[in-house]
Amino acid sequence: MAAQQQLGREHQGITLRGSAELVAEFFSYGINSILYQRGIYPPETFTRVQKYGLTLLVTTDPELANYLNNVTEQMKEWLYKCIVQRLVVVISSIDSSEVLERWQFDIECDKTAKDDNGPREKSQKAIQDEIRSVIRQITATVTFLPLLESACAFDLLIYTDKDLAVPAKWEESGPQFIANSEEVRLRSFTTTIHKVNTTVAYKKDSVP
Amino acid sequence: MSQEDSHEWELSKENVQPLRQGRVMSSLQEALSQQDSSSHTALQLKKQEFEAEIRFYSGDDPLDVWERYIKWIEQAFPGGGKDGNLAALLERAVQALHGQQRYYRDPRYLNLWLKFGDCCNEPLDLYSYLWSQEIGTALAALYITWAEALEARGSFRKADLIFQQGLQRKAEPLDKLQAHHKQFQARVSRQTLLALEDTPDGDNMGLLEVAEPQRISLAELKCRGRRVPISRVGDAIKVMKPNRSSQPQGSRQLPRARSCSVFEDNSVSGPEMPTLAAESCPIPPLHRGKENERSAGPWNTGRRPRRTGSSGLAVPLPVPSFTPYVDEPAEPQMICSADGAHEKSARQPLAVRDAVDSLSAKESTAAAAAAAGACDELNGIERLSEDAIVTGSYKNKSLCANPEDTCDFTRAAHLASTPFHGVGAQRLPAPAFSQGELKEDSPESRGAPLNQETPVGEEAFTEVLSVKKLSPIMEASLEDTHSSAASVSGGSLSSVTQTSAIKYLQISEKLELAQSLPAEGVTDDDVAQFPWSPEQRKKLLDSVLPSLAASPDFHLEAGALPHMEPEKDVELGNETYCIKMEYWNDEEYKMLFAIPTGCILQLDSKGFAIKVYSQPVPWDFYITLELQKRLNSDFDQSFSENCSCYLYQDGCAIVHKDTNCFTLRDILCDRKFITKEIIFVVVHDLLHVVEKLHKAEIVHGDLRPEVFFLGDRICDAFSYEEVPNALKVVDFSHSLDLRVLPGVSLPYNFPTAHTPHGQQLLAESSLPYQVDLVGIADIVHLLLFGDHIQVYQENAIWKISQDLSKTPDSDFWSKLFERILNADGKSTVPLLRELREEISEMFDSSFKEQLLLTLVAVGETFLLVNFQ
Repeated sequence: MAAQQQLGREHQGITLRGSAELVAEFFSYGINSILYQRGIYPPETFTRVQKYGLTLLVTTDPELANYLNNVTEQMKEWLYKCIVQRLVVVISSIDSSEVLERWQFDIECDKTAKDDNGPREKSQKAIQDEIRSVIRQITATVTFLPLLESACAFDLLIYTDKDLAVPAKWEESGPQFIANSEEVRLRSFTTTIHKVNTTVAYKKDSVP
Repeated sequence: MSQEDSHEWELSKENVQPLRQGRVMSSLQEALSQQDSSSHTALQLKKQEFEAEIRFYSGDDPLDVWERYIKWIEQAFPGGGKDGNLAALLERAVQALHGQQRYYRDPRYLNLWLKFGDCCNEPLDLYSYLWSQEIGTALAALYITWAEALEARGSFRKADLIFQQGLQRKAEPLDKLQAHHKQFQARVSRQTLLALEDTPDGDNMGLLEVAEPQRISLAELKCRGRRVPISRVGDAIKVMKPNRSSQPQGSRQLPRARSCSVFEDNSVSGPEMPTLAAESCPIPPLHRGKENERSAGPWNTGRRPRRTGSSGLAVPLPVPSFTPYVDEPAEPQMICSADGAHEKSARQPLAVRDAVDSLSAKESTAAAAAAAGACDELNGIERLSEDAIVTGSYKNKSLCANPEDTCDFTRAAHLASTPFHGVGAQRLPAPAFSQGELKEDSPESRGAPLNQETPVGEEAFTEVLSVKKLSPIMEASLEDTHSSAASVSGGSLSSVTQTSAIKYLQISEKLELAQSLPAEGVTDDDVAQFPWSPEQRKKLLDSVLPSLAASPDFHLEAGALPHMEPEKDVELGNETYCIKMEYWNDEEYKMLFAIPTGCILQLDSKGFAIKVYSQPVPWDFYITLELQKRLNSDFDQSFSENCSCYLYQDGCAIVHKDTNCFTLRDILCDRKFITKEIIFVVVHDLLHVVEKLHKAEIVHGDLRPEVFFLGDRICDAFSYEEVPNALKVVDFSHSLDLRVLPGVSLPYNFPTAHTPHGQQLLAESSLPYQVDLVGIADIVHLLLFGDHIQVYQENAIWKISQDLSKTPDSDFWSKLFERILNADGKSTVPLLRELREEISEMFDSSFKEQLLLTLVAVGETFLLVNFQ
């Protein structure tokens, strides 16, 4: 992988705006993948699209799509301003509202990119290759994640810099950790401006 | 965890079996890293450690070792399969712990069984075994897993039944079971909704939408020359939908059984739960249903050729192979509902092909084709065959026109063990026969001309053939859809109407499934003068007919209602009954008691109460089903828990299984049976039954001693049940469903209202529920004094003419009469409950003892008197 990143040096570089867009797009597809893979929404409400050289599933539920769009737009703005630190997808049981799974995307922003306007030297293709392997891993997590037996809902948490005013329709929330959890770190990718580390945490084998 | 090796799991993800409880990443990494290296020894050592612990275990919880062992195996051998040999281990575990009653309620033990079930090809047998052995029947997990397995096979109705059983048993944790049940219902109703949203013709569906829920074909089918490729083999034909597993192997297992009982599945599969216990096999179905597995044996003992086909003897047949498999394709409508939109597009080509089939078949039978000329008739034919495909059961179709033909066929197919060709020949005279049977004055039969009937019968036959043509390839690939679209347009114009007809049927069936069948078909004009006139009831029932027909206990029979009278045999469905007595008989209704032919009537044995109604309106059956639905767990022995309905051309018979042959009248005929205790028990249950009826918004309207069969509490003094019921009511001839017909205030039409006391007590304005209170008062009066109630009014308060003061417990009885007779306008349910609770407070241990004594004393004379 590392060698591939180096090979991907091509002439088109990447700007802060482009990076924000790429990362936000990754979140959109990533969240969609999680929602599909983990069966949060019924599989028939998803449709296939080609992205990153993979066939990905994207929701067709208008309300959900709209919601995710809003989040992605918001993320894009925050990524551009380099003020977002973490995005968390919390999956919790509807009945008991117990948190069962927690997908955490840590974002490292290179704040110096805000000042220099020149593009960084990393091709879009190289970045997309890295994103692809992250998404692949998300798909592969079924090998170890527990079955979600009850109906679940998901929640998005976004960690931002402290001084940010909470926009309308957002509210402050706790971290919603899982007690007694197993944590698995997935691959990470970087646009050289934003670096995203993915981790998934899930409940340890409970006594049946 | 370094970045490099921490992603090993991803590389071998195909080799890791997902676990219900998830995997521990560290042990997964460990297991995967050890795979290549030859450091299996560590695993082997650990394994031996467990084995030794099992062997030398002396503590009091051997299950604990097994549980830890199995959990470790699961984690340490991520690939499953032979390495860990989990299935064999689970088998050993359940065998080792077999018969240990103390574990039967232990979730860990059940868990072992359920895990073992996951390894089995046919876990349903295992679940029914567990059920019959009462293993884990108090635990929600059993019902959830069982229902899931059924749901995955498309048997939504049975899955629901399983959930109901679990809820009835209050399986723990109940909230989890309820949540799962709710989700199950939500899934079913969502699919119903999806199907509803569908437009019947697929024209305005974009290509994307059509393709979306289907599995995209992995590879294009290659065209050879000009032939359109149709066959797809291997994995490609498996459907991805999680809740629909087409199992070609499963259906191949019993090809023969399938070929001769193709239409019986519904009735076979129906009363599964109640019969489970009866069928219970004492041996656990321990085999994993694996074929061609031969246990190792010595090589040197030469084997002699036994009889031909003795190879089967060498392999001990697994127990499950003897239990009749329920043929899943019997519920194709469920399959339809399982995947809404795309299924229909897959169906369309079938419909077209079928139409072609039916046409050709029709041509072959010249007589039928000659009679059939008109275009609209052609429509009728195709629609029928379509319905048949989709609903999968002929009986359920409708009450009207010509059901007897298809049913005749069912019967013929049933009797004949020959393949279909033979059956087809046999049934040719059937239409003529049924024509002869038709009553001249029956409006339906007059409306349907002969030439329409005949081809329909023919159609049934063709349909059978085409059923066989339903190949296991249910997938609709893109290519397939295209070609079918072409053939639809080129086919026949009637295809659109066909689909809408199917649609209608499907929807009504499915709505019922989602337990939301509204009784909206009834308008205010239906609240006519006589809510129980056959016409009115038929009209009312027509709106709910699909739900009735969907019941496994509903049988649409051909021909006329068989004549029934005492000491004669009668055949209903597949059973022959010997009628032993007649309880009552008026022009329209008859109540009979029967036992299976060949059995000797024993004094205390149970039999069948058969209610015969000379109109083809299964009203009692409807009420019973409604009660079951509305009362849920309160629906108990007081009602007929096990009834089946046989609907004939000119009447219907409802058979209530497990009924005692005595009614309340038998008690009343001799005063010496009526002790204080018996009166209290009977009145308590009388109040309880009516309370339940009213809770379900049903008015009985004809409460007489005869309609109450005695329950186990009286007939079987040593009943196992803790609180068995004393009374059972199965007759609802004059009942009124107030949920469907609200706003009825015509108590004068109830039989009770025609009695002298009823006329006095019931005013024009009375609520319908009032009628049953009058009935109760009369029965109580009969019990106390042996004659009918007589009332008079004093200061606007109704009183009974009899002097209560000499009766024991006169305080209570006078209060009961006062409240019951003067309850006008009040809600009856709380009143009945209060009175009942007051009685049950008197039931203390000494009372029970006294009751038992009288029952035993009375019981003998009682039986003697009544059987002389």
